[in-house]
Amino acid sequence: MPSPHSDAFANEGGFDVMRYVSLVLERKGLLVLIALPIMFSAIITCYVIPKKYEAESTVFIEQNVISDLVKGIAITPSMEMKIKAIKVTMLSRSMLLNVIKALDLDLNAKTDRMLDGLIASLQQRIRIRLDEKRGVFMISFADADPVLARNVVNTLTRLYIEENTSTKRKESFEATQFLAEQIEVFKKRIDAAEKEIDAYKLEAGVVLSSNEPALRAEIENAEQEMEGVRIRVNALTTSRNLLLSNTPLKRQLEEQEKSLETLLGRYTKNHPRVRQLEAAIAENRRQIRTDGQRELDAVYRSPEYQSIKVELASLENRQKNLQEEIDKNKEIIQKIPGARSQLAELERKRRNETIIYEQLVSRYGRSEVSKEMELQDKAMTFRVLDPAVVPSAPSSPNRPLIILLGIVAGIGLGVGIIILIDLINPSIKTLDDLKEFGIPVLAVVPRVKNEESLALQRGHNRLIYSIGLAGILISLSFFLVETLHLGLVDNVIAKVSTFFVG
Amino acid sequence: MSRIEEALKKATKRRGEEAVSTRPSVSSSHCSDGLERPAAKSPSSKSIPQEVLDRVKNQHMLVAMNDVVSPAAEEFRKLKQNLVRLTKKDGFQNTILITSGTVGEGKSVTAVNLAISLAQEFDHTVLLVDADLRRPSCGNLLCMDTSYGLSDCLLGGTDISTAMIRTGIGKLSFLPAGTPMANPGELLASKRMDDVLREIKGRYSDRYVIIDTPPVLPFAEARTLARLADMVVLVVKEGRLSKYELGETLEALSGANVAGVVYTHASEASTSNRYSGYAKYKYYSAS
Repeated sequence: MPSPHSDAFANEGGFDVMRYVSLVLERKGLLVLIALPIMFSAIITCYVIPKKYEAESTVFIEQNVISDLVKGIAITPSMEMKIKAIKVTMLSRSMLLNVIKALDLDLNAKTDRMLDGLIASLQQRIRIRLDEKRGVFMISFADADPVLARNVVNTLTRLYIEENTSTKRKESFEATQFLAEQIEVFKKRIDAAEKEIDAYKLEAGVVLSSNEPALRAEIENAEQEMEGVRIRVNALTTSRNLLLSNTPLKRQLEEQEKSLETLLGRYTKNHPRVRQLEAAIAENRRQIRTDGQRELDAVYRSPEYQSIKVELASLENRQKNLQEEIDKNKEIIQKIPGARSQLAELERKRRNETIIYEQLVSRYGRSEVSKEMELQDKAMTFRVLDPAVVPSAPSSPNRPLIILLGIVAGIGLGVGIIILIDLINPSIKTLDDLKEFGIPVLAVVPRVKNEESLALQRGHNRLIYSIGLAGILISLSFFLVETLHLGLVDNVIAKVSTFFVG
Repeated sequence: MSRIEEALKKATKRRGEEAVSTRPSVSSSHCSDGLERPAAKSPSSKSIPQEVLDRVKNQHMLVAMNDVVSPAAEEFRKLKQNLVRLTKKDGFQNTILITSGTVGEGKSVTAVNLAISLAQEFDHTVLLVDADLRRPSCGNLLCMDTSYGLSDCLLGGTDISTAMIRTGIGKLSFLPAGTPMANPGELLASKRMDDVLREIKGRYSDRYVIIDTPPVLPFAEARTLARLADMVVLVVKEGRLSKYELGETLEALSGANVAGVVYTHASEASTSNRYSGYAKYKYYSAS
């Protein structure tokens, strides 16, 4: 036989949960008191909240076959871009204003402020959902008036599709026009660049056409020739001087001076022979002074001298020419790199312009095709798959959900409050509370019930249970009525209101 | 009236006990329905006269007599056994004071049931003293007339034995509270009360004296009496006393020997586990 104590404490872990379960059962009156008003207020709330009808239309974004065919040739705006633009465009002020005007919604909006409010309200209530995978977008709108809801959705869809088509065409047209303008501009720029190149080539033609190694060889040759000429000039000058100094008087003077030197080696100055010779030299010099010019003229007139003179003159001329040639060639060599790079720069410029130009020309061709496609509506079209219809059942409030929430919240709150009361109640509620004080528990006496109070209690319990059950059943029946869309309550409300109004 | 008196006399004769009281104090008018019952004896009532059973049969709080197989009766028996064990441990401490923190926690019910339990199953002599002079209720529970009692004796200076009543339940005698009074604090704290208690305690060495008192927190009497009693049993009702108040109660009784707690009005939630365990115990003890 197992010990009673081991049994008593074996399931202490589940003790608390069990305690709360029986606590809630014990306080069922309070539970019903809390839960029922919440349930019923939920029911009342869901009938008080004004009904809203939601209309929805589905628009299919149709990609035409042509767009695949002309892929790469024509430019078609990407799907993503279009879809992103849809929302912004649809909810734009101008679009909504058009809708309002089309539906005469602004009859009541007398001031601008009211109109703004109307637009803001539409912006808030119109919902646009995009399903990119299926390539459709849905436009929905909720209003108390189902017909208005449908009209708003349909008008908005129609206006959007119209506007979208026209803007697409305009865009396409403008793009083509822009490309044409740009092509013109770039054509002009290329022409200008070419003119510049021609002018430059004309200006620096010699430099550009010359060959640098050849020039260098030429310079070298010229320098060598210069050297030869110089040598020849030197030789000729020497022979000319020789000619000039070889007149008979000068030769005689020279001999006399040589003899004088010899004599002076042998004799003193006063020697008669020395004096005689000195006198002869003096005489000779005088003679040279007087007759020198005559002798020189004789030399000048000599054919030898004349040929030397002519040759020297021609050589000097040649030397000058050679020097000029060398200087010119050196200058050209210095100019070559600069001229070439400048030419390259000019050509690069022209090439760049040409590339852009060519691209523009090719794009222009594609844009022409695109324009034609847009103009003939062959790129992408919006097709209304499901136009909005007048909704038969209100979309909001979600009555079954509210009723269900009311039931759950009522019971939950009731249980919560009961547990909360128990938690904040400081009194001793379990034996565990007593154990804290360390006093032995001698006996645990359960509630002593007598038959009368027991019967009373049973009656009481029965009452509470039946009230609670009735409450839940009423809630559930409302829930059922609303789930099946029977509309019973609405009919009753309508009848009662007409009765009172009537 | 005479019927009860006769029954009492008969019972006294049968057991051969000394006459405690001859005063015609027992009345059945407010408890009995006055119907004659066949003298069929239930197994638990072999020592109790039929008249007594008839008198208290509508008093459902007397579980120790009227519903002996109930869990509550079982708990009172357990309390009795615990107390018997405790009182015999250190000499014989026979004066047990029953009190609680606040009103309405079940002091009197515990006291009466404990007294009956003691008187029934053991051959103890038991005296139940209703010292709650403000709201005496033991008399009602026992369905007895309580017009003359402790307060009258204390005021009049008469001997306690003149106020004692034989209940007819085993060897259980009852000292009623007597005339209710507004402020019995001084009376119970008086030297006279002290003497009376000592006398009751000392008169019979093997007699249990169970004293029902007013609550501890609102009144001073229990604090005085607790120091005179051998042990104090504290009655704690579920959901009534806060932990703080229990602490205060225990502090107020700090001079006394608090034997333990009787946890009353226990809900199913707080005791279900205990009961599943004690159901076996009950079966075991009954067999």
